[in-house]
Amino acid sequence: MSTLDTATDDIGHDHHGPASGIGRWLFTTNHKDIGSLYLWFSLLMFLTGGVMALMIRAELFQPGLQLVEPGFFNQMTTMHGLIMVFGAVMPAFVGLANWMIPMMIGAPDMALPRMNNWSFWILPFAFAILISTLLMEGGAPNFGWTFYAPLSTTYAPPSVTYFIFAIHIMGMSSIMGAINIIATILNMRAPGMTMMKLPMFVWSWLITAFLLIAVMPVLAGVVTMMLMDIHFGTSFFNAAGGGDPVLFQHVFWFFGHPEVYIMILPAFGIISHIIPTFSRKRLFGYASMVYAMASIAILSFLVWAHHMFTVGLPLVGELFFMFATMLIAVPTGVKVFNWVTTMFRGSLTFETPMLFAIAFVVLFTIGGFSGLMLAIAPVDFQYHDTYFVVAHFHYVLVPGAIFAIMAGVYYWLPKWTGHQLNERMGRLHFWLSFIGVNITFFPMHFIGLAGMPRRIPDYALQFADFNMVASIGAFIFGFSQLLFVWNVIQTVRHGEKAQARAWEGAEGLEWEVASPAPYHTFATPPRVD
Amino acid sequence: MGMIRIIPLSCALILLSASAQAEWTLNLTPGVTEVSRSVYDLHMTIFWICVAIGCVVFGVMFWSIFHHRKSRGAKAHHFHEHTAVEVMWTLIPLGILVAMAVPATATLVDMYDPRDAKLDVQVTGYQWKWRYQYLDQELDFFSNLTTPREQISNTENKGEHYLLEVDRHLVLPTDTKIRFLLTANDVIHSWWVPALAVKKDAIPGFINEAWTQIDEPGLYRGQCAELCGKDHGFMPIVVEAVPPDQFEQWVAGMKAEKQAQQQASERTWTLDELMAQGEQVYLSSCAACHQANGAGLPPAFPALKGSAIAVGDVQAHIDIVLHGKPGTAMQAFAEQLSPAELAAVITYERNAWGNSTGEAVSPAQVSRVLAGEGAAEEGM
Amino acid sequence: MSSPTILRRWWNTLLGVLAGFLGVQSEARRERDFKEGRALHFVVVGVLMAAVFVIFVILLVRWALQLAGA
Repeated sequence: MSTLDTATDDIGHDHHGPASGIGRWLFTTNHKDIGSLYLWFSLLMFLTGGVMALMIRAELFQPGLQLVEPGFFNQMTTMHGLIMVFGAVMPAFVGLANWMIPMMIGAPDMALPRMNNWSFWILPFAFAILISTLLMEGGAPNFGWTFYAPLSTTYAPPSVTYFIFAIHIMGMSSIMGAINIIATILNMRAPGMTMMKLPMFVWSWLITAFLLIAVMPVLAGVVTMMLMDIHFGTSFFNAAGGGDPVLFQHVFWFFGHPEVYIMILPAFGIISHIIPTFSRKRLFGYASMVYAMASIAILSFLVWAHHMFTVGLPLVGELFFMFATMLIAVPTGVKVFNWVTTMFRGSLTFETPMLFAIAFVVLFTIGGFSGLMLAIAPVDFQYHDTYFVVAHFHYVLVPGAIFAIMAGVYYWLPKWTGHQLNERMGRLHFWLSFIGVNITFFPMHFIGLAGMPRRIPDYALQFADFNMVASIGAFIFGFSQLLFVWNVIQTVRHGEKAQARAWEGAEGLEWEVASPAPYHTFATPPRVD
Repeated sequence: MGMIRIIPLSCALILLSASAQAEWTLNLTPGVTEVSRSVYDLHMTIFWICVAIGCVVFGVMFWSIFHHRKSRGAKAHHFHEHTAVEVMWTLIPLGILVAMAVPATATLVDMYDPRDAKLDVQVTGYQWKWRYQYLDQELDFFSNLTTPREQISNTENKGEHYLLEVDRHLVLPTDTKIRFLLTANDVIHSWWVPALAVKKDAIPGFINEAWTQIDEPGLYRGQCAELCGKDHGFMPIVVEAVPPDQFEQWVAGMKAEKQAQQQASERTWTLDELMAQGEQVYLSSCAACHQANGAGLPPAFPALKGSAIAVGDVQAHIDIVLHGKPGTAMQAFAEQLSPAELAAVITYERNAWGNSTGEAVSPAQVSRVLAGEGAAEEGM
Repeated sequence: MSSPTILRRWWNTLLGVLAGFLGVQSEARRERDFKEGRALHFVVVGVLMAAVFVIFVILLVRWALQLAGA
């Protein structure tokens, strides 16, 4: 899509190498270092949240209480959700943005490097606070990642205050990251890199960043209202004081629904790079993709109450959110057709990133289908808060967002490390993950339809078989991620030397610089035609 | 219907799970009401729409994967937009969904119309039990899980209706339009019986409406669907649908039972009788939080063993059991238990696990406290 | 710049926004949008059309309820 006029060189800046020792990482303002920090942090959180998921699945392996108490089980479901959403998926996307956006638009670094450092380094503190609640008297937050009041206010364990503080810090980090990304994309593009030529990943992040700035303050607002209710005698969510518990859900989902897109738009961006590369063909309908994503940003604010069909909305409200959801879902959903058409009559090869990308398209679509089913309000009464919903959002988040992140990591790893990854190990990781993910989450559709509610530590006997299958799948999926960790570490340390253009069909400015990418790229801006 | 109820994609998974412990299902229940059947039909319609779209999309995709691979010498054809095709594949699914919205709206409108109900039942969610009040029949009782703790902790074999069995069923007449008024006492719960296709949140301080009309007599089991704290998984619902004449008999029987309870409160109980009865009540109503051994789960659920209340002033002990402690999980039991049961459980708490106060609290003592309030509330 | 061109430009912006709502746009029109359009115009028209969308769905709901006789 773009070619370079000038050679990209980074030599001749003697004072610009990385600092040595721990100081390099603590004080770094380099987008590549900060990108790496985000990605390693996200991996750590992914494994932490994964261990919690395995504890949940281990308890649910058989009916009866075997391993954990119901109270602790609730802490696990809550912490698993919070850590995966705010600690694994979101920081991973920010990490990829840090690494790739400056290279993709021909910028020397992010626009606000010091803020970049800060927005990363407050994250470990936020999660240290959140995870430390597990050791507190009364235990960690146990009210689910959606923390509905009054379970999370009047009836919450004392650690809820730490949880609120941690959420505030995470929100600040996200907002700063988003501001930085917008400032970079709007101001730091190389000459000739017009908005029209922006790579899809950059477009997807530009839109995501606006969504983040719009909704993270809403999340901060709702946890602050909780804080006021708990400690300062207000009654936002307490009916006895004139408040309304349903208000909490409206405010939460006003944040929560755009948050869903925050976790999937950058994935769309990544997939829109990988599929064309390995199909040796340009993305089909680039223009449509950009327009659809832009309109999602606005329309995602109009459907939040489809998460609340059973709270007793008036009929008018129920119909409004059902119609709006159905109308909006389709134009977004059919973007899948663009990827399929990109593959159609291409020249396909199936390296690890492509395998993950194809699995993304297939399994995300399955998650989209169950999403369509959930949009039908009268039927949602049967699906709501069952394992059908659990199956739905895990299909869009695990083989959706997380497979896209892994596809992106495998795709750009040669650029980051200068080494080709171990392809055989990558494929093994893919197949184990693909099989594991489906064994885990597909049966959840059945147990949900059969009537098993979410967030229960023990269940009736008719759900036993599929729960056992799901638990086995979870362990296959969980342990196969160790292959990913091992493969990444091996690729960082050694491996076949990678070309500047590591993949045959890859296009874009990031492939014009050497592999590994020098510490400073595009110190002199390239010219893009 | 047999073919339709089996989701084709499940075949591989059925093979994986050969050992069936209890009968399991793959699909939504069609249920036993007109509404539940139309919900089931909507579910199957949207399901098959998804299957059809999926076949087309994945079909094209796998065609490309097999035929357009580089290893087979495929050369990339460079086309990257076709607005007409894109518009078409957006509008067709949109049209299908709009068509889907028509029956969905009709069903939803029907579900939101509780007019002309013949029976009103107020359903109140408590941590972690349900309370049912038949407003015209003046019946009022709680429904607790009866699955023994031994089955949950795996020291006994699990029964057929493990975790889906309660001490008092919600008995409802068939062929009668019944209106539910749902609310909660503490946190948000959600009352769900799949066979009736009724799921509605029970929200503290607010009242939600739902209705049903059951066609077939039978037992229909459900569960709380909204996370409501520690024992969210242990507050099932059992609806017993009986023909209208049997329902009348049941109402009469319940009224007689209520009278018998009143008489029990008036006679004198020995300490042993109170202790025996108290242990039963304790295990069904108190042990979930304060634990069978009285050690509790501090700090949310304090220990009773050696606690200042359980070995201290009797009046304070009666007061907290009857009225609960606002802002904590400790509920008011005055309405949940009869005076005899209250007296028994308080006596038990004051004498079990080494709390040897030797004091017996008589039902009459409890009744006096209740009567004191009753007089004050009479005017309401 | 004469007034017809301004009108024309807003009209094109509106078409661009509607294309976004449908999620389909052609390459040629996109190029025109990015060459001639102003970002602020797109945001303003976008928010306006979102409001129109809300009103449209509300009317749709009313009409559906009237048909259903509820």
